[in-house]
Amino acid sequence: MTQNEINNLNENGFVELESGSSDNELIDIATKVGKIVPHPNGEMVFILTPKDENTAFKGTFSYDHGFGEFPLHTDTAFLKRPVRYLLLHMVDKSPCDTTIIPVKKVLENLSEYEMDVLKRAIYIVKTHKEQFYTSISFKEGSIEGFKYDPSCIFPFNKSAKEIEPKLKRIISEINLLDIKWTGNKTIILDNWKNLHGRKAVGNNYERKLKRIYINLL
Amino acid sequence: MSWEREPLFTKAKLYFEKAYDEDKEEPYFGLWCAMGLELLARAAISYVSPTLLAEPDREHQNLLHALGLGSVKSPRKSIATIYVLSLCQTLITDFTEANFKIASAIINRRNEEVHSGSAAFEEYPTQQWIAGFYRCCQILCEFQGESLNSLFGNDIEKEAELILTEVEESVIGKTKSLIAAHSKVFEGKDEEKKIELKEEAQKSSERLSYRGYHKVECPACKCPAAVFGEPYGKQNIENKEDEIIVRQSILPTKFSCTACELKLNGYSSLKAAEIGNHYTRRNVYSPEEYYDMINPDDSDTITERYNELNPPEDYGWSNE
Repeated sequence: MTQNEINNLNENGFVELESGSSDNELIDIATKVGKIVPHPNGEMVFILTPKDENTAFKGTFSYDHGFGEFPLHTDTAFLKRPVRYLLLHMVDKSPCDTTIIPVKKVLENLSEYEMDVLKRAIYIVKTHKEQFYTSISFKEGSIEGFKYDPSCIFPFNKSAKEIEPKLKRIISEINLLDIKWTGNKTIILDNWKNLHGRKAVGNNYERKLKRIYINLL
Repeated sequence: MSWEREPLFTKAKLYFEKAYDEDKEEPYFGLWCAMGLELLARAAISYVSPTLLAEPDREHQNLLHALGLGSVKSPRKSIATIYVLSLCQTLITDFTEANFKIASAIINRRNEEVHSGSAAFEEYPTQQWIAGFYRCCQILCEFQGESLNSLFGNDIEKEAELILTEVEESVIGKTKSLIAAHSKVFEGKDEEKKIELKEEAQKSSERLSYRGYHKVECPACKCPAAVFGEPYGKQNIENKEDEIIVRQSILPTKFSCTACELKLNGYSSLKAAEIGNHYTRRNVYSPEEYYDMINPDDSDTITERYNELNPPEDYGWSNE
């Protein structure tokens, strides 16, 4: 990964690059961005494959949406501190796009009053392990982040209940950026600055997406 | 149980929201504020590390929970609020003893409210604690990179700022009046007496400077005087061949002048009098003193220490 590509990631919250598909090559790229966060099973590179509603685990998008379209969300939004970056790589070509929208575009559509309501909004995260309160618009040091996942984060206070329908509407109306998986392609996404999803799988049941979670060092 | 900063801060926001849904004269306002303040203090400590909120236990089960490695079977226990506030005093420079006292008082009322039949906040009117409460919130927020705005929102932030400014102005006013009064009395004394008092003050401030006080010029009579304060931050320890030098930063909170008898208490008053600069206390110890060791040739100290650890049966009986 070149310095130019790292700069692109920092400035735009997203970068596309050509790369090989081996785990070692992908790990090498990821470590140039930050520290890899292994999957709870210890794997650094996790492979995502489409599953239908009957074979997927409860609490996953596949359980709720099967081969259908995945809604836009923040990855690991159920964590108190969602992972900062995602590296995604499609092993083979796939007609099933990954979709992205920058959070900036969502926030641009909010009025000053609505931004204030967003700052006062308190949500509750509900997972099978725990429940805790959170703000979807957060700040860590000087970095502002945003987390959103309607499958596990629910509006709790009055401000959250007021802003949620507006957010849903804006997110559904913004033009999506479609990532075409044309082969040898890797993308790195700032998970605090973008929401992402997946188009319906169609007949592409063999779709194999490699994913690495990365945090800043 | 979540000990991470963000959920704690968010929950504090939620509790303050509940508080401001009540009338300020209502006891529930105080109760929700007290509970929010506790969470805010815990969030500030978690900003340093969530592990500090774990109650120490022999098997480190609570610590493991704080690290996200705890067993589902073992219960989690966090430290009591009084220890949270003590940690705030240790870790947060601006969180002075005065802030500790007001935060403890509010939280003690919450304990009384939930553990007894008393109407604890009925007996503790809002006007008595609201300014100190806002000051504690401001300090705890700023320490963790937040603000009164991110905690309370625009309207309450404005109210809090207004109250804090009024308090500050009131402290400035009172301090300036006190200085002016002492200055006037001192100036009214005859020249010979003033010189005598100045010389005594010089000697006194010299003596006090060896006892950890810091020399300053009295804002009223301009004689040498001394400030004293609370240590904060970590000690800077320098090991030399035959001595150990310990430097400790001090936040000044008390002032006293022997010449004009002006006394000031609290960092805000000292700041208003422009003698609130933080200073460093330097102590020099021998290695024996610092490490509490005994020189093997010093038989008196050895006997004394032995008697302390193994007191003779008639110990104390021969005292007059």
